[in-house]
Amino acid sequence: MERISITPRPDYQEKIEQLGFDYHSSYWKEEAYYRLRSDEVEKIETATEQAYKMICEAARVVIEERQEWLERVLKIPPHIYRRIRYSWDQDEPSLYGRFDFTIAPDGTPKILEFNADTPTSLLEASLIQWQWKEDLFSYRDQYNGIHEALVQSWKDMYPPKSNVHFVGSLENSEDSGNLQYLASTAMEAGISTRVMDIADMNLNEGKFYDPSGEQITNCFKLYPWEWMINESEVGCLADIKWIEPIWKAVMSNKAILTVMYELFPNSPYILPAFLSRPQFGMFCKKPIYSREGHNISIVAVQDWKETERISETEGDYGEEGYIYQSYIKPTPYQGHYPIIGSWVIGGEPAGIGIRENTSEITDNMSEFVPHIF
Amino acid sequence: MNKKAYILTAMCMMTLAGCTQKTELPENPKDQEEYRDSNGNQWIYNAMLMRWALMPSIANGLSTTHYYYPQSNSWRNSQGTPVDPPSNIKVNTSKNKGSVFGSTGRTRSTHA
Repeated sequence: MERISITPRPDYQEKIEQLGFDYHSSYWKEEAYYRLRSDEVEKIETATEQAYKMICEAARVVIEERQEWLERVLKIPPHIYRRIRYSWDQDEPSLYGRFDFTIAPDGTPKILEFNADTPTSLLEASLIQWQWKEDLFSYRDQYNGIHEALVQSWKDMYPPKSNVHFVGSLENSEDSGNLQYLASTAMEAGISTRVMDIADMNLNEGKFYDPSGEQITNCFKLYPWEWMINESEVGCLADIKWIEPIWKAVMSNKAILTVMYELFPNSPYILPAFLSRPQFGMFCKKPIYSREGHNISIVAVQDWKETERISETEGDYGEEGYIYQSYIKPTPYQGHYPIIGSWVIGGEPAGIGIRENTSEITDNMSEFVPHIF
Repeated sequence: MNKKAYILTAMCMMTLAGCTQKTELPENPKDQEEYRDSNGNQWIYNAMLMRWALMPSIANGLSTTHYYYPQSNSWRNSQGTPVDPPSNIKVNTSKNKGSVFGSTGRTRSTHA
């Protein structure tokens, strides 16, 4: 993989805004791109496929065999557990998720985390970087079948003319942009869509209604399950089909990485991860629930005593506890550290988006960088 | 009252009405449904985006279309940027009694 500097298209801001990407600010500059080899793309695709199988098995073990673990580690109340179990047993469909990989010096993708519930950076990974490639490198390829996979997944999940509401925090322009993009993919699949703020869902006698009085039966939510469980357990038990389904609450936390390591200790893609502080080693210490790289630090541990090597990033996460994930020093490319966001759509690998930072921890100051191969 | 005085009075009344009368938008609008409120403003509903477009006019003093989102009682301009409500527009809102989700999202980001 190479990082190559390039001159931005002179009219790129106008072009990407025409596609609805109006929240790019300093996040999309197109001053560089990554060029991958075909075998590197194949490695990422294989790793994504294997990783998804392993995390599904980890979720199965936890849901079917370890209710106590869910209550103790994730603080899932028993009646919410029963809803999760029902959702899992019914095989309620999932639309998407995104693995974040770092690439080890030998070229092996290593799982940093799985964004199972509310993965964003979708529009830029799907349409924006493809438009960039078509403009500048139409003769090259890009590992990106994200848009087509989303449309196909909607078709697989719902017959034409089904109604699906799309909810989230519309005050946030990035959430609003991601929601509207997802709604457009559903429309392309023949689905009737409504986009609204999640605060305007009205719960009445176990059913949700939109402000026009229409019952919400199928609902895509860009809003984390852990927040929903905290805000209203009754709402989580209502008669409604959610996308992502509630069993994704078991995957959308860092603690599941420790179960993956326990079940698949020899997988080349899984870094050792622990719920309690190990005796020795260098670790990335991450809150069980954390977003945008908040409250993450790199620590050295000797005889169970830890010393910070890279200070904890800002944030207000961590009260639910931390995991210790073996630290792997990322490879710098022209002084930047890339993270490969590899999309799983309809259960299959669908493409990648690359974000990079000048620090080793990817946070909300990262930049999205397009790629070709 | 001569014609000039009538027009002046009418304009003052319109301005006053704009300041004091709240707009009652239809509760179950259809896609592309048009509505003209008591202040003479023209509204067009987009069902997919669940928003009303308020068309610019001399009466409301707008030069570009503004969008009103009844679910969140918020406004955006034609670039999609959140803006304050137009100064002489007041929409009658009723609080959602059954709202249970959304409070965390006002203080934290969902981005993962």
